[in-house]
Amino acid sequence: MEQRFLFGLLMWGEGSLTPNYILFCALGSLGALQFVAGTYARRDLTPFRSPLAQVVGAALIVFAFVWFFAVQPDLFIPGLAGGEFVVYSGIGFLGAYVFARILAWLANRSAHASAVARASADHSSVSK
Amino acid sequence: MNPDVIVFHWLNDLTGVSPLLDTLARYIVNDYAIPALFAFIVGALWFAGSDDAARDRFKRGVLFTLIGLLIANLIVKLFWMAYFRPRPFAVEEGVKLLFYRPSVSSFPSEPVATLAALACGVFLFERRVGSIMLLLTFLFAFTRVMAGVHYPSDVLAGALIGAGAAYVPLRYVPALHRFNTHLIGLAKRFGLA
Repeated sequence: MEQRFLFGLLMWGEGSLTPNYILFCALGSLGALQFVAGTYARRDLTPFRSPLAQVVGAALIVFAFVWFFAVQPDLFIPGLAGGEFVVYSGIGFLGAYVFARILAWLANRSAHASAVARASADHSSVSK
Repeated sequence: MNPDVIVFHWLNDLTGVSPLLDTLARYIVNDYAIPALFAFIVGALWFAGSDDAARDRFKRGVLFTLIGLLIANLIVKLFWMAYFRPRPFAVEEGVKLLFYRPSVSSFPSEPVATLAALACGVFLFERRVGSIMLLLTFLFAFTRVMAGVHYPSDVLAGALIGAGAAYVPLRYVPALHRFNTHLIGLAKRFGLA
């Protein structure tokens, strides 16, 4: 199969190797971020509370590996090299970071909105 | 006979003993599994820490780890410009391969230098995670020899280069501490911290 290049510099690899690798990095990075966010109670990076975030993180990492090695049969032949690994891993990680921040923001926003609604409901019942 | 070659043959003879061991070795030795796992770990450690001081310490550790990674790769490339050592499968008789045939110099091992730089870099600021990474690096180096793509001295040299590249800048280049403070400030400004 013919080799393709990105911007004439980075090897894009054969078939779906590169998109699958980026998705693999994004899923694995998201898992690692959830695990760390759970360990250090960083609610800006996860929508889950502490032990659940760690479980979800570990499960995502395992899933990323199982999925990537299952869908990508040509891993034992020459493929991506040093520079490509760095760039594509970086893209995957950034994607995972942005996704984690958005997810955490949405979860915190809805939790805040329901807390406000509860408080105002309590307030109105006390006034009556 | 050269002890390097003797040890190489001992380890390479483990190939083909058991299909299970061969499969396991293939999953460890390939270009994707352990390097990607290390990338996930280093990336996530950037966000670790329960208070501001701890977070700052983790960020500095990650930056020094990345600097070590860069230096290790530069040293390996310089070695390659000065010296070419053929791969064992190209020179030795009866080598059993579990891997494709890399064309770059066998000495020093670039993937082992890369993983050792990452593992030692993390070990210097987070002992528990760093120990696991060091163990995986040892396993990876062992498997590279077993798979027939490196001599033991290649992976040993790679490991020493990686460890040195992680340790020396942290201990002996104070200017890098100031540079990292600047980078962390920049990352915070762009919401990446």
